[in-house]
Amino acid sequence: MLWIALYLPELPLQLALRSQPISETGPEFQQPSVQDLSAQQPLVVSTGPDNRPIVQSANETAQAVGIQAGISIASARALTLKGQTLRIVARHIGHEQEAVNNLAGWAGQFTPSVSVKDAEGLLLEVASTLRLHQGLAMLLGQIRRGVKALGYRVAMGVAPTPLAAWLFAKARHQGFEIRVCQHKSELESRVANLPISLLDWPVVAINTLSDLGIKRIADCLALPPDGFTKRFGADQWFDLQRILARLPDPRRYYLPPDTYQARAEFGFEINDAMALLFSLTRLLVEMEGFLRGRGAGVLDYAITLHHAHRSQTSIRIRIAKVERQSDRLIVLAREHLLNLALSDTVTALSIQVDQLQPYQEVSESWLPDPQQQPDSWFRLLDKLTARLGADNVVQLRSVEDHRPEESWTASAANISVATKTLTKNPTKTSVKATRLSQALSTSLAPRPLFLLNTPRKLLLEQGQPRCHGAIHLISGPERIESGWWDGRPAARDYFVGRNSHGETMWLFINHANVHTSNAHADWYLHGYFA
Amino acid sequence: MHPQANIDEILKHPAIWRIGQIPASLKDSIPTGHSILDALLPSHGWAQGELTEILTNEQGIGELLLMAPAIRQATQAGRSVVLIAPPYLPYPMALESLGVRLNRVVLIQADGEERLWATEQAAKSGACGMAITWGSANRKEWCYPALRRLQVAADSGNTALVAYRPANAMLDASPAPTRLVVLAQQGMLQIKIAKRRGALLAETISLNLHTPHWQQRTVQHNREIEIAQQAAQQAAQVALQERRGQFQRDATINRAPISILATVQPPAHPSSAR
Repeated sequence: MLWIALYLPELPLQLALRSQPISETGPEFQQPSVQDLSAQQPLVVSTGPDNRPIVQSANETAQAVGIQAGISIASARALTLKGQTLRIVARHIGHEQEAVNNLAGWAGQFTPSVSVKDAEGLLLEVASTLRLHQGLAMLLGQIRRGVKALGYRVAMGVAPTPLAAWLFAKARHQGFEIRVCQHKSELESRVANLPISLLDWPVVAINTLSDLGIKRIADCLALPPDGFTKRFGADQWFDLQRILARLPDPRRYYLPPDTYQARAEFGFEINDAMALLFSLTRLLVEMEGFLRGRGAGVLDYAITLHHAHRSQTSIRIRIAKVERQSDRLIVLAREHLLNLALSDTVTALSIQVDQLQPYQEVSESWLPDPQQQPDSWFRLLDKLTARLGADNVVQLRSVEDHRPEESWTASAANISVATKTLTKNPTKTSVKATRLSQALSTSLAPRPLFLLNTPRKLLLEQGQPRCHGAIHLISGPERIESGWWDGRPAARDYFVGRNSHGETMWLFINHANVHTSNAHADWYLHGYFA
Repeated sequence: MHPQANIDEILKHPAIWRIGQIPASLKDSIPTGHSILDALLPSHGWAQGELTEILTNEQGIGELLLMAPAIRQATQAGRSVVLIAPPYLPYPMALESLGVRLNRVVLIQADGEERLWATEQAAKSGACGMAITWGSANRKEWCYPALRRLQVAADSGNTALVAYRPANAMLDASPAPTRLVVLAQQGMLQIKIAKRRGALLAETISLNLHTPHWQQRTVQHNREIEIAQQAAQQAAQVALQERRGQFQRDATINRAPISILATVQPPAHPSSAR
């Protein structure tokens, strides 16, 4: 067993700071960059009852003027220097738990054995996946870079037992020099010199021990077990034994859910859709890790923008092919955000996936199967759909109806493709339908390649239709009389006509209102034999 | 080295051709399905990785039917065909009856700038075998740099890109290696290869794409009109002769000056009439 502990110090503060862009702003904003500004401004996380909130944690600027955890928000305000504005973010334990859970989901890509440690950090059991990640050093590097990209500050510890790893992680955060410990035999000597204040013990117990002059773990271990247990309780003694692998320490592993949601709180108001992209990128990168761990992808997900006044804007993003790579998802999200006109300022952003789809990793083939649509095709459809809208990127289908305007439907290209890949075998009925429609299409007189959406009424000259000159009829009539049952009846005689320019048109005489126009029948243009 | 051999070596380069000769194509192509046209195009079909312009003002002369064999072939080979901003709805039933697999055809409706953007995206993605786009009726809307972008996009995606543009776009220079001017005559589609790699071609190709029966009807109609016109002309001449005779008789009777004759002459020669 080998455990990696990820300790997230001051998580509430981290979450409040995390949503702020670091270096994504353009060069024109380089001069006081957003990060500098936010680092200069004091920020506190508030907790406690609404009528008397207190400071839960404060950033460095706030600490510099004397704002400490535990003082009231009113005092913190009073301490704030002139020219500075104190930003107060309310602590939300639910969001913290969600953030840690999402991080656990993200860590699922490194090992299936991820355990959540009290909304403060994670414990990963990695002995079984070391070979996959080419050794501990590579794995640690990957995790460190990954966590940084997600915008978290994290302290890491490695040990053969979960509690020792946790201890090392906390010690490292306190500034101790801790090296990786891989063998149980080294454990005792390694933990011996660490202060007991690092242990997650009740404050009372730690204070009592300190008063007794017991400051290091080695001192604790030197005490007689019976007396220690009697005085401080068995739990603490068992903790020590678990750290040293003398007692088993089974952990409950995090079970990733079948849905996914993540949220980024800004703590300030954003009124530019593109500024959201930064936070969205992090959420999507985190989601990619989760999806990798689950071996899944998404076909559609929702981005919700939470406005200051309790309203929301929801964007539903559909993807042509099951996807999980964050860079591709971001490209699509960017197109959607570009189209968005923000009605209100945004204070938080969340993403939600209702259904995970099995993801098949496709390796680039040297000789690709020509029948297999390349990945780039789905990406193209997504890109076009994102910018032009699903109604404007369509696939056409024939429907069995004799009325030309009723004989086709259009469906969004990226959705129909996706459903097609899911249901590989066409059902019998659809095969039958295509056969029927083929029979229908071949048995009929020729149909024009271009159809007008609404038939255009033609001018008449001596009872003869005109369109760019006189039209002479070269084929017809073909009667189409149908649709009396659904309220859109058609009673028409279709002709093929040609004008002097050689333009071949599909015309019809409408019989539906022939009785109203007494002199001549109405002629309509319905298509071009392009 | 023998200088003669050297020059022969150089002339074998596919980018060099002699006048009157079609260069060997560097690129793959999708056959047009019309053997006469294939023989005259350097790529022997709609060239992949190139922009091909089809210039026409008319609608319904068979300009899209010209592409039908290529669309059918591409879709049946499992490749996608993208239709960008056609002026009207491509009628699915007609496409199906031509053997086109509709599930490989995607229709994109876009306007203005986005039409160009969508075309560029489709061409450079490399995911579609063929992209057919309809330019605006205003030839200035797609200026040379815009077309150049399309040509580059087609090249990078190795897509056969075909653009329909108005006939007066021929007045502008274009980066497209192939430009066809298309019009209709006697019910036949007349294609003039206005630009291609290799020697210029003076002759036009005529293809009968529509039902042969229609062409016969058109020819018949035109002949009827011709006959009717001839008959009308003859009748007019006869009438004129009669009237002239009448005038001459009147003139001799009334001794009217000759100049009056000129004013009542038929408008066959308007200049002299004035």
